[in-house]
Amino acid sequence: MSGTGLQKLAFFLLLALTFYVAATGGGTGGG
Amino acid sequence: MAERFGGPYSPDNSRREKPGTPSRKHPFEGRRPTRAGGRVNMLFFAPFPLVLTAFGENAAGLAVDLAAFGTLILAAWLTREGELAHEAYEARKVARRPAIPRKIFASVLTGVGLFLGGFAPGVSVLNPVIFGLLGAVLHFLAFGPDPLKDKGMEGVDRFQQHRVGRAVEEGEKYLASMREAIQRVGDRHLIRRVEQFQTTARDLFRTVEEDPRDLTAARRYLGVYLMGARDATVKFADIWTRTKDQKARADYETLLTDLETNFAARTRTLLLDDRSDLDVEIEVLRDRLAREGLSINGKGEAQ
Repeated sequence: MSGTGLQKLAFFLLLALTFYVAATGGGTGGG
Repeated sequence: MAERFGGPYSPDNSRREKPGTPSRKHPFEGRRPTRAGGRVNMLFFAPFPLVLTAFGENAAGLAVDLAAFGTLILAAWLTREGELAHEAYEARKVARRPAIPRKIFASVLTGVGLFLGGFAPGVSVLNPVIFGLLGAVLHFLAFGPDPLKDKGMEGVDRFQQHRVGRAVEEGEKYLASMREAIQRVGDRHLIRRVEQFQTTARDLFRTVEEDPRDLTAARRYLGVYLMGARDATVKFADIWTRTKDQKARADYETLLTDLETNFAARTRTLLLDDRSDLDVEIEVLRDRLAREGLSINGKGEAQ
């Protein structure tokens, strides 16, 4: 994937978000 | 499988390119790094903590987490397929939009997956909804929508276009199985030769795609000849792996050179046709302008 800065930023945020939700259940006690 | 190294300047004279062979394009010409590698694959790894934490929960939590995991993996897979389809779309001059908007589905599925991942029975759904929306928007920003319009189809007979598309698809299939067969041989030189032939063949594909009227003239090249080339490659691979017959190898290389010369010549003729079309267009337009009573002097000024 080659893209603009915005695309890259969005991608890494998405990755971080997925990882966070997966690891902690989003802090809701789920996950 | 191990491959023997050998480039054009290796001390094995028999493999050196003979003078007089048609000049070849670099096998990477016109290629771009794939967008479906590297980072996209990381999407497959991010949801894995869900599997680890899922088994520390009660039955409902376990089910929800596993569903979230499955949805996110499905989204990652759709993203990758979508990027591949998008790439194929961009590589062609004339292309139909993908039948399934995979990347858009992937954005939605990412949202659903993150909602499920953050969801816990009996707790407010506000947080999971925020996660889901955020995920879907970020995914959309990162990968964008699929191509939603047909490209280069204006004024083109759809039926002809469809026929061209099918013929090219068939040709690509032959090329793919040729490559598979020659990979078995594991000889860098031959693999490179086949790749070069593929580049030449794809030149012809693109030319036909550009002007579907060329299909009649190129039909045999995309079908029968490529099928013959594939069959020859498969047979050669069988023989070479068993007997290492040098003569078969020489014959096969000659065949590849012949094919390449023929394909390149065919592409050139088709392009010449296009050229004469252009000449006709120019002539007609000039005639009409001349009839308007305007004549153009040598300096390009109207009188």
